[in-house]
Amino acid sequence: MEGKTYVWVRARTDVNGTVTPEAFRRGDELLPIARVAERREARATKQGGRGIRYTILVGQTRLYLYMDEDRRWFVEE
Amino acid sequence: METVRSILHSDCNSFYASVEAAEDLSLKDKPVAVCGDPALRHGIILAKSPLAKQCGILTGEAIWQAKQKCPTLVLVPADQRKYLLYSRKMRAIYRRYTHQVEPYGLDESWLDVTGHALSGEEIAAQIRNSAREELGITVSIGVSYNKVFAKLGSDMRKPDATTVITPDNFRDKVWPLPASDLLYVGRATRRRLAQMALYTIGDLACANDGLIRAALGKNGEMLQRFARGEDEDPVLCAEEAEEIKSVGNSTTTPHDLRDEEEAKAVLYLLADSVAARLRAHRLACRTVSVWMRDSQLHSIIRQCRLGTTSDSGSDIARAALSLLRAHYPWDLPLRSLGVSGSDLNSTEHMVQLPLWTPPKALRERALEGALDDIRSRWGHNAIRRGLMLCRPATQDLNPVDDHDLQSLGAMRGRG
Repeated sequence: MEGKTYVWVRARTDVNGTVTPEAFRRGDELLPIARVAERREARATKQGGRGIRYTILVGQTRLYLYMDEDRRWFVEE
Repeated sequence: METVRSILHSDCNSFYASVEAAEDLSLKDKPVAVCGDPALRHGIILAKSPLAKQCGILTGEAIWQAKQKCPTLVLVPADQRKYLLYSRKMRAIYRRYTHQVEPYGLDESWLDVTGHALSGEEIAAQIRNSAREELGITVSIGVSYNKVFAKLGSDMRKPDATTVITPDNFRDKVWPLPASDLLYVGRATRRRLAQMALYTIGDLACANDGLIRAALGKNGEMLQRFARGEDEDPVLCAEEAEEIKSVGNSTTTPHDLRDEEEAKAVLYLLADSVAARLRAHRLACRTVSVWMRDSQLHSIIRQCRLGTTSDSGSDIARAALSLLRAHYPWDLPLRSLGVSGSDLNSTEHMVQLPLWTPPKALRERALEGALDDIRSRWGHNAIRRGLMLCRPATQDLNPVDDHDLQSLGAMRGRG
């Protein structure tokens, strides 16, 4: 099903307040984020809403991870 | 050589409905209308999507009327918090290019980008792109050398378009438009112009100066300058524009008001709340305005000056009531009323006392201070004027919490 799934995220906040996600949970799995390729404001294209969009690398896969205004993290399935 | 300014006016297309569709993409291809709360009789259409507009849905009409025209209309309750967020995000995009951003309501802003390395048209294209990509909404942008033409430009092509009006092309682009498209030309002015057989902006621009001055006074001279592209009004920075210029409250009552007695209770309620807010900001007003909207949704605003600056609810209410008496003809019942105080002065360092303050005025001041105190502890309705108790129309109104959405546009003169 297409939709927005809110996820548990472990993130690091630096002294400037910049938040970088390091790992997120999908089902029972904790997936480490190898690299954040891009960080920008963007709309979520499948179901709607907007936030800060992190283009992340999980293994070889590129994924979008969003943080919304209430600092909740979500992915689009 | 004098530099030609580069001014943008950006207008978010069907703002409220677009925000709703951006938040929930399943609404994208449906006719959508944002509405108020039907239980409080705010059950009118506040905004509509382009598809709903095609079905003939009008802003201001009742929900049942809209549903009759378009049974598949999707109604979404207004969510001010969401609109404020998108509005703030839009302004952040504007500020990537200039700090001279002057908001006009939540959904429109002027930008002065004179001297920027990019042209106005290029900046407009980038802003439109960012709005689409980052927020999922579209904007129409007018690019010109003054604020009035920039605003006209943003209205000319919708949605998601840029219109450029230059000193070379404004006669072709602007002059054929109806005079009512010009900023500040309302219904009354349009009628006066039509009586003089002036129908287009070009007619107004080319009309005899003396004739316009005689018929419309200073206001007419200003409009004529606008029509000729001679508007020098600067774009203010957001901080300057957001400095409090007036404090107002408005409300739509649970049933229409049929006479002055009923209206009086509502005016006192609104005036008390305006006065309380003035006092909270340590401000006092010299001018009082009343906004009156009849059951056909036509509105007028009238204002008067007080003898002295005041932050007293009684003073403001008395002025408001005399304005209503003088200007509302009662050929239709009243649906909404608004009261605002402007021409503000700080009361922080000085109070301009008349040589002799009547004891009654001093007592009123003390009384209103006590009201503020009681309300801050136990809520607005903890204490009321006796006048309110016999007026059921005012029972459910809490002007302090009542941030009427429809009044935003209406108070800005869009009715």
